[in-house]
Amino acid sequence: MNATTQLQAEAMPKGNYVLLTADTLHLILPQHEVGAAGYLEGGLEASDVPGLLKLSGDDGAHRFVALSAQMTPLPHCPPERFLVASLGEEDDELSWCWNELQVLINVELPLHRLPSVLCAPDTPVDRYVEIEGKLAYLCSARQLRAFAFPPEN
Amino acid sequence: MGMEQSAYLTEPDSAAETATAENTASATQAAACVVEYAHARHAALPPHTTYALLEYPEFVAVPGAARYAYGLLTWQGARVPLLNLNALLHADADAARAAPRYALILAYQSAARGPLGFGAIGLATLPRTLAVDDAALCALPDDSCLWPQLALSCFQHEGYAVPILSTARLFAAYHGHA
Repeated sequence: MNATTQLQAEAMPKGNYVLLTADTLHLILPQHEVGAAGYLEGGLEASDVPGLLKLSGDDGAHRFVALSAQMTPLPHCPPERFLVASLGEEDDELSWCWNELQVLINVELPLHRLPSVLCAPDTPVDRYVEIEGKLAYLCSARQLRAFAFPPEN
Repeated sequence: MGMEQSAYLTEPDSAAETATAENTASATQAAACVVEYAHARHAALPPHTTYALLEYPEFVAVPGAARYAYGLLTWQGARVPLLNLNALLHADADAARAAPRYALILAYQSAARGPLGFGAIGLATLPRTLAVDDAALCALPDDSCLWPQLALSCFQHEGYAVPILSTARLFAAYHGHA
């Protein structure tokens, strides 16, 4: 008998995904929801909107987000977050900062459901995969955006 | 105990959550695993549900998880939920942010003859095993509205009311109210 008796893995839909890493946070999104990756072209500073960052000295409309381990926006961008990509199709003026992006082609990983005791009604993730020794949460761009920037009531 | 070292407390039996207030009370004396989950706050667990003790447990945060959750603990190649009882029972949200010194691995069954599930609670100090007499039975404390939902029974020890937790009730579902 071992601890795995409580975990009933299901199959992740076979397809292409992107593993996004922000320090200890690992997310897996469908590849079609992740835009082309690029390099951050300079330092970031806070903008006039909490959670949104802008290139230092730049007055343009482009904004950036750097996530915490809790998937909430950080007030600054850690120096090792030098990769950026847009998410979803709604806003090309918003880029998300990552340590690492890894494209996973035609994968079908065992998918585990989070224990229900951990999941509050607004918990944005409910399933995860184990990949290369890391725990990565399966997420959509819409879920990520809605949790990082909840709509104001 | 060294980093990530575990100590096995009991071998699990096939009916981890069949202990109830009734069969606990059927003997004149019974053993209880008592934990101090916060300063001067105690709870007890049926010894057959206590499975292992980890020192400096490694866990991964779950984004937006319940406020009483430390996250997912790695144990025996599996991920099990690690909870902060103080945050759960007393809405002490800040307490869930500091990593605990120990993690007590607990077994539970959601249904009779069902598979064992595992969860863990964070502790600052080591648990103790006590012999509890039937005469120590007392009412649940009134410092948390969750005790009636989570406790099987309660006994008096050294001036404290010590609720006996049901591990199945503890780990089976999200606790939205505290």
